[in-house]
Amino acid sequence: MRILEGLGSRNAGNHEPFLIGPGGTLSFSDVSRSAGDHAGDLSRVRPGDVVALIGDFDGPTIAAMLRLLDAGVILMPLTAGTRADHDYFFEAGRAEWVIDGGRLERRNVAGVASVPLIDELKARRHPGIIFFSSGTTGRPKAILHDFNNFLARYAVPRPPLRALNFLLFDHAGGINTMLHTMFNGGVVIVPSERTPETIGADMAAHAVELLPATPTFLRMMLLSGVFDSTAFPALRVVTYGTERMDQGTLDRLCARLPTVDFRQTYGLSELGVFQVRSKARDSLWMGIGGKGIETRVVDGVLQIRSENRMLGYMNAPSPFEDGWYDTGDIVEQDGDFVKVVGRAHEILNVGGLKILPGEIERVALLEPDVLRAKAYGVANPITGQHIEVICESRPGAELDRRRLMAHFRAHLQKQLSPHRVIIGEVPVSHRFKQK
Amino acid sequence: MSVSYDEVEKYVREEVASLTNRDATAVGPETVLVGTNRIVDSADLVMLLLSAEEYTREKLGAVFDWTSDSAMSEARSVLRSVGSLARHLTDLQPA
Repeated sequence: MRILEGLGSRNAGNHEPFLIGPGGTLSFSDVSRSAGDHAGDLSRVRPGDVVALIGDFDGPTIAAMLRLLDAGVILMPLTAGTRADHDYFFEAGRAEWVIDGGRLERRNVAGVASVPLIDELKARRHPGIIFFSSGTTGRPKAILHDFNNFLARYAVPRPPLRALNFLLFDHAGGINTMLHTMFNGGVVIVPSERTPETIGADMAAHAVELLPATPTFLRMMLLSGVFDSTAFPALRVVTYGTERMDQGTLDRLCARLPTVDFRQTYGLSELGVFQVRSKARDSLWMGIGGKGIETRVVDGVLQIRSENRMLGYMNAPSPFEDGWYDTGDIVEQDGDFVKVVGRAHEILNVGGLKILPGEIERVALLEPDVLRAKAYGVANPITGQHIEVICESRPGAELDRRRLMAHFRAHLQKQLSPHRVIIGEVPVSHRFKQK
Repeated sequence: MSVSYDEVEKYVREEVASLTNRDATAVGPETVLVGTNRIVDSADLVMLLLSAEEYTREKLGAVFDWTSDSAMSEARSVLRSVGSLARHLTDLQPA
């Protein structure tokens, strides 16, 4: 399917902007016009070429993206925020072209071996898209999708919404929000900054109905008081995902925004975004499904098989076994619903007793003065591992290590209480996830 | 100026007393930390050593490495009692 044509026919006669951002508004007719802005340059790019496009959700970038995909290229969307890693991304994804600041430049790839996955995509004559994993277990992996499969999910029309695109241009979730909104005649609001105050102002000014965000960012919004100081009468749905939500934060959000529906999302760059239904607005239990999606739980770990899964990693072995992907998410089950309680590789083992860091972090967040917490294991020769936790205080609050130690001891069995509490800042990634 | 053995021993005694909910006067240099008749369990011992690591760095200007294999080869003698641990920490101070 040619995307520009498809969008044009779906939106025939619609001259309203589908994108509102700090740089102005953008309509489909604007896209068709600005798609020609790069005509001279883009004509040098051939189907099957890998093109790194550095930008954001702005008119020229979106126009270039759609035009490139229609031309059959393999697109690597990147943001300026990850510039320090760009050389690694270019190498790992075998980028042959780079578009940065509207300028197209060819990279020297002479002597670089061909990649079977790219050859496969070229043989299909399909466009592709490359995302990078967040790299929590080693260097980021280059995830290659057949873009035609990626587009398949937009075939079924959904209600149009005015959505704030919180997630970034280099994130599968951000691209999904944009395409979903474009294909369904909604409006994408691009925030001028990703701070709680700015997002709140943009939501109020543009009558945002859907806010997709990470739990970390929603905690920051609660903390900032934005939900107290500003009314959001248009807001209907808040979706949260990409990292684990805790029940305490969800309860506080539900209380603060009583008319808003809260829905969990669940997706993996390797498998795409799924249809997820939360059991209730205040529940962390979710059902995962959708066309071509199968799930099973093996030894407590969620596995998923998706028809629209990636072709593979360009720089790592295939993670699939008979099509099944081990998500690494430890889940509890209740009928068709699952609840993520931690990550398999994160299990801490203290003298034979096992606990998930998420459980420690959950207990830390029961202390009202703790804003964020990060627990991890450290090897030692006595108990194999011991537990350390970094606790970040809310602004204006002062945390006391001994008081926190007592707090953990009151909620956890002694052997699994953190052995060391560090008062400090918990790092947050550019995608507003805890590192 | 270096910290005296008595002062280091006082720190270790108070730390052990706090971890085991005992009165500081009930802990002395002969109080056993590992082996038969020990008064700390493995979790208490780990917390004592983490605390000692910080104390050594901040108060004694030295490094107390208890997590390496080589350190553990001496652990039996160093961790035998409150007194032996206090002596080891005191001796770590730069001359």
